Amino acid sequence: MALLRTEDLTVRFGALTAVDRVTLEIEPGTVHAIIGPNGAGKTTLFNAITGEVRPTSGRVFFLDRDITGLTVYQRAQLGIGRSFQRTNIFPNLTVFENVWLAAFARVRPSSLPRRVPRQRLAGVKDRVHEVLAEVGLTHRAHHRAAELSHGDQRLLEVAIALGLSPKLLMLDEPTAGLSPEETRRMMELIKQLAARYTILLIEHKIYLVMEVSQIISVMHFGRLIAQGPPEQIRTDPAVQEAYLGRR
Amino acid sequence: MVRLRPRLGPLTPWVLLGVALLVLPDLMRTTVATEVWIFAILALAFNLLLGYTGLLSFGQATFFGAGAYTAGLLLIHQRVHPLVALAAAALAGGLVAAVVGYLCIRRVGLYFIMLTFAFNLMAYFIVYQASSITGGVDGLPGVPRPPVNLYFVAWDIRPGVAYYLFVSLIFFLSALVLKRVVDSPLGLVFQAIRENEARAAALGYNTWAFKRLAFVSSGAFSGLAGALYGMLFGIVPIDTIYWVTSGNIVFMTLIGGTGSFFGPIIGAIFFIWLAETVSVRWERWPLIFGLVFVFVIFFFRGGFVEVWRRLRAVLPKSGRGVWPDYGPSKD
Repeated sequence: MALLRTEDLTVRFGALTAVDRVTLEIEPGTVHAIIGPNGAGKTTLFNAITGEVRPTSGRVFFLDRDITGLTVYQRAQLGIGRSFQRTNIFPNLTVFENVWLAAFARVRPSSLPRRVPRQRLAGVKDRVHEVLAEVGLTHRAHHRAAELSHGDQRLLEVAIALGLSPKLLMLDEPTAGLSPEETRRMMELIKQLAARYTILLIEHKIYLVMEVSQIISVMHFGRLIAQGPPEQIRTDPAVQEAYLGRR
Repeated sequence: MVRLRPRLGPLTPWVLLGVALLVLPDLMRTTVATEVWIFAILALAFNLLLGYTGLLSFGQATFFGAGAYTAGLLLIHQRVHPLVALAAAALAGGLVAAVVGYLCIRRVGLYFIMLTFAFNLMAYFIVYQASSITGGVDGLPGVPRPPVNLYFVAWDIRPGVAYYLFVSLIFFLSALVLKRVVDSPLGLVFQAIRENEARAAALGYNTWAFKRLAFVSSGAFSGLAGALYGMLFGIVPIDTIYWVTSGNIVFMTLIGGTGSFFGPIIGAIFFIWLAETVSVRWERWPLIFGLVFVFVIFFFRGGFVEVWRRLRAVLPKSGRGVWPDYGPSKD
């Protein structure tokens, strides 16, 4: 059974069709990458999966449940956690608090006044330390998030998504704007995470994608033009055309 | 071990607050001092919205007025226990805020502000029209201040000083409760919404529900303050529900500082003192307030609290350098 499935998912903004009848299946336990030139509709596809954008038509299924009509927060509660392409953190809160909010959301996302048992709060705290250690931000725990370097903010961005302990981890260009050194760090992290999470990854750096993912889907002008394991994608003529232009 | 936040924060501000509660009646008339703490409750309740949740409500007088009229009517017609009047006022403030919040919360920014303002005007005209019940423009006179009957003792709060103590007590308890709220996990979720609402939703928080909760809590405390106000003057003037009062609450909170829990209290002290003391001698007192306000907004965006913070950064401290955080390391 696929963890996530989209059926003919289409998102139109006026005359522009950003996502065009995309049918996609994400198998549990895999790293599934979506690549494609700028403006191919990758992030819009992400947003339609997480609920930030309403699809014009088509459906989204998570664990065989139709989630097309659910809101962003309801989907997050089901176990879809994401990071954003443009850093999207809580700037005036500490790094610890940033991740804590994510871990806490798994325990008590409702606003109804209800006491959270002390034990579960301790569990939340443990989870935060675990995540911070994993991404290597423990020494920054009590800094304001806004004070971090861009590279550390990208790590925090991933850490917040991890704090949710999501069933599906969606990473939108985690290496955007990173130096080669930082990119290597992020790559190592994603490889580590691949053992424990189902990951849907948007990435521009092809060599990274080839290295970490089992399945690659290629988008071009909103459409899926190819899908398969890295070796197959490397030699696919349609993909080469999309990237290099018609010869 | 990492603690999220200390339970009630450092002790110093609480001690300062205690001192302020004790000395304020010596610095101004008892009535004015009492009014200060009533408005301090309002400012704290408003800052739960603006400072912590990031919601600029320009209609806090709606809830203040709802509480004042509810308590006033109950005290006049039913002669209820003062604590019952307070509870009813808080309930009324919360209920009205629930209705207004339900209709406003989904709008953001300027639209949210204007909607809260519009509902404030509506509430005002309802009270204005229903003059047979509310007294209309003349206000609702004859609000009594019955003794606070506890099982073993009846506390007469009619004398000014006794009522000051009563209000101080209610204020202090309100401040404790609100401080607990903002330092709790709930308070952190409020701040997350202020910082980045979209991301908070992506974590699974129903941000509308949390904003409504903040709105209702703020309304309840504002209603409570309204009851205390009516009992202070023995009348509920229609000004309690007039939009100018909403504006004043915004001003005093901003001038005190939205970035800290205690800042708005300083703003309330300053504003009420200016309004009640200076206005007697010079009727153009809002000019002073306006100038101070402009000065603060230009140079000290964090309000009075920021003046203090900057002073502390410049003043030498024993055992530390003048610039403790930026100086060269000693080793």
